[in-house]
Amino acid sequence: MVTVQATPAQAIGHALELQGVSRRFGGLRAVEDVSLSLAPGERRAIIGPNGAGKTTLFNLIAGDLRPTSGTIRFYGSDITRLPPHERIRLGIARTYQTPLVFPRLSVLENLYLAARGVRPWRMSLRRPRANDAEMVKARQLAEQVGLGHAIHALAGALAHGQQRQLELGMALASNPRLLLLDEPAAGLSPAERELLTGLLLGLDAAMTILLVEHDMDVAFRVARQVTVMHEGRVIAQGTPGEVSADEVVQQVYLGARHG
Amino acid sequence: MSALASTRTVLTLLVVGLLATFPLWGSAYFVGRVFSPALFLGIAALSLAFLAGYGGMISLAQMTVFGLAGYGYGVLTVTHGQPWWVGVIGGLAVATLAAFLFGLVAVRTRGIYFLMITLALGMVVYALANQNRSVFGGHTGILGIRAPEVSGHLLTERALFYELCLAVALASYLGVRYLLRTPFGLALQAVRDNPRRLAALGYHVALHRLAAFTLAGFLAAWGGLLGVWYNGAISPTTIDVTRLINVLVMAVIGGLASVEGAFLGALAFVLVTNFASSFTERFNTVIGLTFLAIVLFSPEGLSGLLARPVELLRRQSRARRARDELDELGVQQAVGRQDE
Repeated sequence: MVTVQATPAQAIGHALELQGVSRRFGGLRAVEDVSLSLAPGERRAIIGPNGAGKTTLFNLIAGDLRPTSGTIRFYGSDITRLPPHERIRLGIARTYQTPLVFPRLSVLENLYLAARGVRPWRMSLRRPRANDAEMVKARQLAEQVGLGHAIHALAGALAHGQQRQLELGMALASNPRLLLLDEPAAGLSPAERELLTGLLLGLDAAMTILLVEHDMDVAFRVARQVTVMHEGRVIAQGTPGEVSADEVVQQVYLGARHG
Repeated sequence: MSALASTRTVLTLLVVGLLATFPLWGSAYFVGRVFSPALFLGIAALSLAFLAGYGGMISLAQMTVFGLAGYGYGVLTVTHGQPWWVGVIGGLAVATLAAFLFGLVAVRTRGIYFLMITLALGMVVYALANQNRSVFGGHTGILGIRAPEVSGHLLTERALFYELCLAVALASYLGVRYLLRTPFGLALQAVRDNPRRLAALGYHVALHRLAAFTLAGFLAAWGGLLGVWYNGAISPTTIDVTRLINVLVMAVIGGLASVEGAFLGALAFVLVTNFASSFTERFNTVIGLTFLAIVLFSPEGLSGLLARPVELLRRQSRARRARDELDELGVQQAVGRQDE
């Protein structure tokens, strides 16, 4: 296990840095003393059996939950206490395990809201025009994630895979510096996975990506570095090759599968 | 689609034309006692439909805000002898401020808790109005409230009052419809669907809720002013628990997520109350049964019932468009798959 205790000077160099982050729910230690740092532009996968604390960790980074202890830094500034809507304005975007879109709004409206969210005048009472910057952006995002021909369909009427595409588009709408993807390939067909992987590989190289993924194929193609979690703790970290060779990891995975 | 759009335009013009000329051909009773109150109560119901149907906030305090506008107008014009325009501005300001303060307390809760908190706030104001004599006039309330007089005409003259109600109702109707397509309105609907997701997109959810609640209060306040002119008095019964719930009944009868529905619901409510009370004392039972029937047979309310043929056409054309889009998408993906 690699734990980097960064000094403040080093911290500026990291896109994201977690120091001793823990979160308890009553007696349950969902995330326990996790330290993690990502360089700008790094693509990192978090893997681990169910209940390892991956999603909780995501919620801590995105701000949906506050850590019980520890600090989270984003490009050097402490964001531990920042509410979610302010974190995204700093450039942290996320997707959810089950796609969360606004079912009674159209694809275009979903993307428009996402593009609008990180800009001032969110509460504007002026009706958007077709050539508004955010509208143009919304259309372009629809094209990018492969929904260019369905912009008027209600998001709730889309198939599961298309909702995932839409959600990814919504996360990209803010031009994030850090993208958190929570099981982006879950429930997708092999062809859709291929589409997704291609999309992720095609993203701006400067964008830092942290993804939780069960599909090792997707995870290892997108990420160079892998962090393995088990029962709330980080038990291994390294390249996909190093991690698969790790004895502890093998034990955990075999134990989880056959135990 | 264009045929549907032009049919809509013709229908809209027809309805507006009929409504505007109603005092010329409608009976005095219907103009004065049915449609006018239905319009100003409809504004209150609209403020609730806006909050509940589009913002996911079922507020029971809309009638309280409505009543506070009336109290504001009454206190300023009768107790303090101010001119009517001071009363109008003051009434709107008092009610909107109250809505803002209610909102501060209520917007952090959701669902049933939101409903209970707004009910509690309504009850607090009711108790205050009932017991405070110096400002609210206690149980009697404030009597002898006069509507504004403009160039010799009292605004409560039957036809004039009706046209005034219609104008305000139409303005609120168009205002709300416009609002729902602005960034603010879209975000509000997103708050209804999934507040957590909206926060993750950079929106301050509580602030949006508060703004919507205040705005709805401003809307209800206009209804309240018209209401107090119509009644010529205001007392705590205007804001008692029955009235608070009645406006919810109107909104549900009309169809909660419908801008037109609020007025249809108010009209149905006024009709049932007026006619049922002429042949039975148990008109509340009749209202209750109407309510049940609507909820059971047309959850989208009267507007859902009336809109069904139109909606069917629209849905067909929308479905066709969406299907075409999705088909094309499917074809593309299938092609992509074959390419691999």
